[in-house]
Amino acid sequence: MKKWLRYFAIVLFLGLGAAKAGAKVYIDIDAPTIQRLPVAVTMPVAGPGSDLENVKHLYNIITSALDASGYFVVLNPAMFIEKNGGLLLGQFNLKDWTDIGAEGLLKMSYTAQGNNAVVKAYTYDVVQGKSLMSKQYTGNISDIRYIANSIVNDVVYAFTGHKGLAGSKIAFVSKRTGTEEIYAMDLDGSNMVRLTYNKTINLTPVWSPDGTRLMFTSYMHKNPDLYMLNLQTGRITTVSARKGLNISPSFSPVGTELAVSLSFKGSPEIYLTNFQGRILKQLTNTPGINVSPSFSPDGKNIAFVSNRAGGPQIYTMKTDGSDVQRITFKGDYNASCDWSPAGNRIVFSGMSEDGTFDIYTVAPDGSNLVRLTQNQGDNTSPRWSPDGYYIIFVSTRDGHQQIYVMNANGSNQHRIISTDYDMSSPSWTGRLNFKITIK
Amino acid sequence: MNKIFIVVISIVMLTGCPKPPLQEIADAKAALESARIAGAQTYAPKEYSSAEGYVKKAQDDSDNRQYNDAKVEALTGKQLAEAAKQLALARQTKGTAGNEGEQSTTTSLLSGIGITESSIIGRGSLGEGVIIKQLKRISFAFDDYSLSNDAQTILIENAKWLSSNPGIKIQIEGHCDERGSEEYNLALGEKRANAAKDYLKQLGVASDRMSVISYGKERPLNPGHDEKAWAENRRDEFVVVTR
Repeated sequence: MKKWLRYFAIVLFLGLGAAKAGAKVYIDIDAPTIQRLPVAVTMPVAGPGSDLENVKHLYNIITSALDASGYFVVLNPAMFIEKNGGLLLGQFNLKDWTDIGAEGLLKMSYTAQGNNAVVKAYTYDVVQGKSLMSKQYTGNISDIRYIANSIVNDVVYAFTGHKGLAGSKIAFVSKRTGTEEIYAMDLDGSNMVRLTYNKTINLTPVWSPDGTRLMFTSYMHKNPDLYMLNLQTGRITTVSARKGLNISPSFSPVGTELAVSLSFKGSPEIYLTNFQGRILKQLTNTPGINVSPSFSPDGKNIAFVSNRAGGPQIYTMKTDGSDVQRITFKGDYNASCDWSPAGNRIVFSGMSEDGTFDIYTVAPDGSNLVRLTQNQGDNTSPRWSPDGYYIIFVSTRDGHQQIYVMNANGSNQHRIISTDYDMSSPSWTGRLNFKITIK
Repeated sequence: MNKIFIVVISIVMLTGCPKPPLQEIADAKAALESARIAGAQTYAPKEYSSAEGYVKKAQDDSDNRQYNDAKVEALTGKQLAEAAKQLALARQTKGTAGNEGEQSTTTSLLSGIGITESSIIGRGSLGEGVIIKQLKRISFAFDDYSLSNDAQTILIENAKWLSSNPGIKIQIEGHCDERGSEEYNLALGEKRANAAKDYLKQLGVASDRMSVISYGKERPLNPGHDEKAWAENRRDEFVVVTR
């Protein structure tokens, strides 16, 4: 259990100058439909002694992450007219880019200095002939991915005014070794790391708001108990090991409380506890099932799943347990709710008329139900991205359970990584550019 | 072994069709899962991993449109999985591998009350305790934890057996089908286990002889994804435990 990990920030920023915040927004990611911006990315100019494989690797990570963001169409280099343009405004011909339909342009240089890579990145609006961002990134060559992700996030920021999520972490459950264990990976499926080794059943990982801890349910002591994994120390501590179920944790985004479902009194009820599992308050008290609490971003309300009216449906209540409101009425089975970071939507998975499961969002007062998936196998376990612009979920559309991402309006649905084993219960943390290493 | 192969080959020659052997692969996977539940990974690891290899190869070949090879491998994998299961069950009863302490306790406990090795048909979901013929599992409807008439009839039989074997303690495992959320199914499984416990208590079985645990949808009996599999997976198992 102690053969363990640490995390560290890798990328060193040496800013040459960044775009002014609040400048023109090229892509309005709050709009109901997002128009992808055509962007050209040139192969980084390699300085003397640079390994061309690293340069190509950097380029590939950046282009695929820009595409996956859902905000850009990355133009095919075969279309490029420019032959020997420079990196700086005035050193290349804007028309070479506007003629092929580009609106944005990313140019880079790459220089190796000992074990370090120094990458300069320049982002342009080629229609207006304006520089949006120029920045230098330095980091160990073996961590080129972290440099690439930082560049992608800054490019997304330059065009949208919101920082991108490249390099953020997804925790999930997989049975690839025969039993359910918890893993983490980057948003693009790279850097996969196994986090539990107890060979029993480990379920439903949930990140703490600051991304330094992961809470999960495990049968490591022959009962579904709640544990906290500290990613800085690698230590696993017991949060609640009461008789019966100790499941479905949610971190309060503002305080030091957890909402969890415990059944030590006989029936699964939702409780408020501290991080050590001490009960502060019992919030529900019905003879049926109450699970899956999810705090609103202001910490004042909780969405949860209850079968008090027959089948599972989504309800909301105040954090003191009062003012319970049912918010889903369509279908007999609605579960797995997650309250959006902006506070205005709740995502959940519901059984559709044909018996398959689909992802829906609904306003916290139960109005404005929107269906996001259709005729694509079973779609379950939805969770918001930390910035609220994406939803991660599990789908069987390609044969078995894999993890997918879509924009919050349901567009741009794509698989994160293709594996031959089932993956489930994804959870997304906003902590960017950190690394988990097993010692 | 040779005989198996000849039979297998003749089946292939008779049918010889270029369709993916979906049924054969599903059967092989089910047999493998059944061997796993019976503790074959621990008690017959060599045999289990050999069976697993064939099943995996069958799937790979089927994916690569090598349907004839895939079919032979699936049938072989199934045979090997069944053999691994038998071996694992036999070894467990004799306590020849794994956790010696618990095995011998279980074995002496069982032999003390006249349970023979042939009574054992499986293991508890985390590999502890044994499932025996005399205590039958019960089934549930979708998203339901009420006891059907059939379930009540079985529980009456189980209660009778438990009454005449007062030294036996059981853990009731509640299970669900794969549909719906992990968390709701954990709760549903516990409700199912408690429903059986409460009924057995009404029938006179002391509650300190019974514990409950939910495995939600994590330990299906049938790894399939259809109505038949789901119906088999919505169940309570009665596991004889030694503590």
